[in-house]
Amino acid sequence: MIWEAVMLRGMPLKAVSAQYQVDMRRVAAVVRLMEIEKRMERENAPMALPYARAISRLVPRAFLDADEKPFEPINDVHVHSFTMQQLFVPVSESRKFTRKDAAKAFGDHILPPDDKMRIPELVDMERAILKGVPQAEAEATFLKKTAQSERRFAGSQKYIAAQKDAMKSKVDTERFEFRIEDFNSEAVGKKGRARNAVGWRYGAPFNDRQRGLYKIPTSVG
Amino acid sequence: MRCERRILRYHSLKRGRVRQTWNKHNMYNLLKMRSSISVNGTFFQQKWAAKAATRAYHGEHIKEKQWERMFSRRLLSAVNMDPAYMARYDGSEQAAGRGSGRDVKPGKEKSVARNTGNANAMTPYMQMTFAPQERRLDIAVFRALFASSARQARQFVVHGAVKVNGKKMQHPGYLLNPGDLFQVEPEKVMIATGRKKSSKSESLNAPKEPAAEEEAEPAEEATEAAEQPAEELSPEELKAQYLEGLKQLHQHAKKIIEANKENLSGGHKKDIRELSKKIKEAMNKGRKVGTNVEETGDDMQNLAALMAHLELTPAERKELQQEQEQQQSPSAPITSSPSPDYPQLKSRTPPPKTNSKFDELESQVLKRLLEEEKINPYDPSKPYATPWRPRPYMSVFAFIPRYLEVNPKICAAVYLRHPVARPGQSEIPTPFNTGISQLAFNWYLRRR
Repeated sequence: MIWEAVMLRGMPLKAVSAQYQVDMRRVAAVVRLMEIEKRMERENAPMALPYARAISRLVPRAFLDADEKPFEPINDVHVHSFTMQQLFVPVSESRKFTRKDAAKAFGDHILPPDDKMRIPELVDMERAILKGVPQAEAEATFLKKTAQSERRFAGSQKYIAAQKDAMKSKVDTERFEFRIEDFNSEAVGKKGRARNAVGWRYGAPFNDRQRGLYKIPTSVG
Repeated sequence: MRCERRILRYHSLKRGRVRQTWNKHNMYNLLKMRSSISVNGTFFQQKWAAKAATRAYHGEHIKEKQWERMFSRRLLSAVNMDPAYMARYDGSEQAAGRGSGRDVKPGKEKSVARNTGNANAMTPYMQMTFAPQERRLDIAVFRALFASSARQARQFVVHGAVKVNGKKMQHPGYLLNPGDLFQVEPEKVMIATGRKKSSKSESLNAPKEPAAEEEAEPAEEATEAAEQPAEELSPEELKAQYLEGLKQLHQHAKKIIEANKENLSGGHKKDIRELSKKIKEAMNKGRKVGTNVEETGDDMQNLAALMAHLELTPAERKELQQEQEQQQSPSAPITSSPSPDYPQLKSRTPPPKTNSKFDELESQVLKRLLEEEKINPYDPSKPYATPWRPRPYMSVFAFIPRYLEVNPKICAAVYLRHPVARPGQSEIPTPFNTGISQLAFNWYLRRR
């Protein structure tokens, strides 16, 4: 259902998330997994069909279209550890002490929840409804805004990739395309062992076989 | 290089430690622990007992030193912010008055603005004590129900059956990042979660099954071998042989359907197996004889095409006519109209012109049975009991936490985010209550 909404109907992820009350990251993951499933089906790859059927019977299933209970909270805001302490801030009674002021009181870099919302367009929609905009119109604006933000994000990603690509000079031979990047071989840090330094340094022994050093990769792909 | 913790008396019923497994003894220990958990003694003793109990479950295969390094006192939590509330209020209503909202007159109910979507309960931070472990690849594989224990999950990783973002990852201690996709080989998952081959059925089947396999293989060889003399045979003779085979097949199928009509889940699996094998053979022969059998993989459709060529003998035709006359006389207009017997195939294949061999219900039953057999076949070469069934007591442990999104069909899952505690609930699946977890948390704070 989610895959259909995203891939066939072309709905923005934020709108799908709001409609079915499913976290945005989960929406993205569902689409990703379904794409893999479809590819594997096309390739006739082995799948665990009887296992999947058993699991679908054992694990409770959520019905997204029935509006009984939202599947999961979609507007999660992470609780910053700075905000977990108790503060005593003297404030005059006449002053309007808002969420923004509270965030400021916890620390200069602490953001108020308004800035941390995953789907800020939802708040805008609610505000519009409070102002008297009809529901249907507000929802249409919400859809438009979410699509816009998604397009903007995709555009910026594309731009970054293009910028990175432009930094490389390419030499196209018949068989290979050589991509050459500029590196500063002097930028190796204080001890000559900076993480992103290039190449092997004369006289600096490898410590990759030292005892107690963590060698498991921290990220893949 | 790494010495593993030993697993002597792993599921001891006397000690009653609860482990991360789907073992039946573990289930017993779990129930026993539920009913009798009492911590008494000095504070140190309480913490010790709580640590011992929780560590026996949470990452028991991880060495204590390693876990101490992983432990973090910063516990993640999240709060749902309702957009309607955010739009209506800017938070100043909570700070109004003397700093905690305006007072109301006694007797009147306080009408406070509420941020809905959160449970009205405390956030169980203490249940998040072992949250850093849930990031580990082996434990995530176990949580996604791809392995029957954390140790088995670890073995899958070490043996190279797990991929992360499409690349083989052999470190069970790899800490997943939000958005990582891990995939286990489906065959391994079927082994882990499937029923064991019982020794009884093995001993029963052992002499039979290889024979059956041999039978099947020579059968194929025989058909191949038959190809050469087939060319020598006259086409009419061949056709006669083929039709004879089809007739037998048809009778066989009828018999199975009759048996299945009353008892749909009956133990006629062996018959169905044989039938599907025979159908396949018939298809192969059909291709050689030259009837229009396409390689669509849809057995029912092909069978329909084959049966269309199957003509009735004069004796059979007579019987059928008599039957029809009998049915027509006590007002049975449904059978009198020559309805095509494969409604779902009407558009694709022309309806058989001869008298119908299967009726609608029969064809549906047969189709369902054949599909079942195709998805979940009997295959003695597999290391688990076939047709595949979930292992016993699996339902007790079948739970997928919210920080994972699992697709069991392809045995892949996405680690969406780090587990968090919310008001009223924590995302770490644990059999222990908050008190025990709190004691364990205090142990690892190292202020003992």
